[in-house]
Amino acid sequence: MSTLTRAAAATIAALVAILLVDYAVATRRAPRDDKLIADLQRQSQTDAALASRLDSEQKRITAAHLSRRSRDRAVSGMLIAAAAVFILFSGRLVGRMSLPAAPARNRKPARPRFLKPPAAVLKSPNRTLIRYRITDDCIGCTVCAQVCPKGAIRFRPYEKHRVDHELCTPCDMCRRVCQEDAVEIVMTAPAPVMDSGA
Amino acid sequence: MNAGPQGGAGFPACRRNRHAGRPAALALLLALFTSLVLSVSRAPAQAIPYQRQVQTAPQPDTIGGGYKTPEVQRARPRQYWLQVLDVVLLAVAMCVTVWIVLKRRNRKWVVVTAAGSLAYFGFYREGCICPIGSIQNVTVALTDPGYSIPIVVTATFVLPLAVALFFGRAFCGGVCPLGAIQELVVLKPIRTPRRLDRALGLLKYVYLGLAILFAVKPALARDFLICRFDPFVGLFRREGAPHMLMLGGAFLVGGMFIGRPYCRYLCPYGALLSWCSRLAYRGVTVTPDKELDCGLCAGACPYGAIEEMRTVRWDCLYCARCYAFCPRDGQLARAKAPLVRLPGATS
Repeated sequence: MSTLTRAAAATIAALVAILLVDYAVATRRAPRDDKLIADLQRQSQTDAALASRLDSEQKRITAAHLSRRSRDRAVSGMLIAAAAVFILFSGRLVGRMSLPAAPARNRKPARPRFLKPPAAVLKSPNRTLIRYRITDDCIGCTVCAQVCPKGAIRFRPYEKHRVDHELCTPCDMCRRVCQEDAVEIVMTAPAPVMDSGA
Repeated sequence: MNAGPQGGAGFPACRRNRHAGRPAALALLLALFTSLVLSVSRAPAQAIPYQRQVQTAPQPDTIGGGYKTPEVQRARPRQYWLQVLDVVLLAVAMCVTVWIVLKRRNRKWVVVTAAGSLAYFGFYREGCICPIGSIQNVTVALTDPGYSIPIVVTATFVLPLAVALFFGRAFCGGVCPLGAIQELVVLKPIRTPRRLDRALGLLKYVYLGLAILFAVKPALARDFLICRFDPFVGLFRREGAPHMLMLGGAFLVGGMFIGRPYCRYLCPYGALLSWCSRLAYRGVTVTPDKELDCGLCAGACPYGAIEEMRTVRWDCLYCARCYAFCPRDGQLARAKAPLVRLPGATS
């Protein structure tokens, strides 16, 4: 969130607060003003001296009403402008800022913690004879992450995926489903010489 | 261009013939339009005499001091060519939306079109004339012989339906100001459960029924519910009843998390449009030639309009997010790259 976005959000909140306070104040005053006018109207029918006061009170209330109206229109105009700034610069409207969730059909289990081989085995480059590596052809479509039975590829849309070799049991699923041919096999050890039997 | 979803083998539900009822529906719509126009030309507008309400209006003796009750003033009607311009702009905006979404497959320009429509039809025209409200005018014109509507209203009512019959709900995505103001505030949509979505979607039929019920009442008991309870028109006019303004604000705040709640659950015109768009022969297709089955578009759709990796045409609101969220967006936009070979499938 950039500074501009944050400032716009704060402005929106402040303007909405102004409008609400204005509305609350006006609704509180209205019955009092109505009562005042009604009283003055009743009294001025007997007491002619009150007519000018009635006139001035009516003018004051009308002026307050009109000024509130124009003020609210100005505030709401600013509110629209601030909202436009917020929407434009929050970057969520057009781009991919809000990432989609993983499709529900393919929720992966949590990363397994059991049956973990000893650290020495994991560190060894020859733990498996082959490794799967994701090349720069990856477009970040997460299909491999969704099919990986071990959860060795994290669900990171639109990023280049990465195989976690500690979890990978070279099952070849990711290479098969990748439509971009972005999964390659890397030999980590020279191919073993097959003994024909002793 | 490939029109429909092509890899239908895995999704047999997509293979049924959608085009069967289209000519009949088109004929029906044409008949509706003709009858509306005829009803307009048959009965000239009947002036209803204006009567001042004695209880509320100030009388000459209430104020005193030589006060005279002013003449009744009425707003001058908008010039006719400007009304026609509204209809023309409506048609043009829908054509542009269809072109951007179906041909260019570009979200950015859809948003620009929607924002332009919001500025013109929303804030400048203040939410009137709108096809949603025109349901009531058309209903009244059809039932009350003393009431007639100008042809621009008829056209405003029929044009989006006609477009929906061919291309789906393009009106919702790029033109409707009520939709546009909600579209712009969708910031962090959550996925509503499918069953809840369906249940709430039934509300719009109830609303449509109520609106028609109140519109066909006799002239003095008649009420235009859709216009009276339009949550956004107060925001467009920047004044109105406080509770309606707050309702509009609540819809916008809720719309940050639930994508376009009014359109999906309440809009009575949306009900008509979704009926028409069931027959559309061309609509938003997620993956025309090649797909990854990655489901990112389904995860990105805030309106739950992608099921089983296929667009649900009557729910699709033409926002084009599915294109923007596609990892093959660039290729899709050009639609030239060859079909990617599935490595395991050959040999």
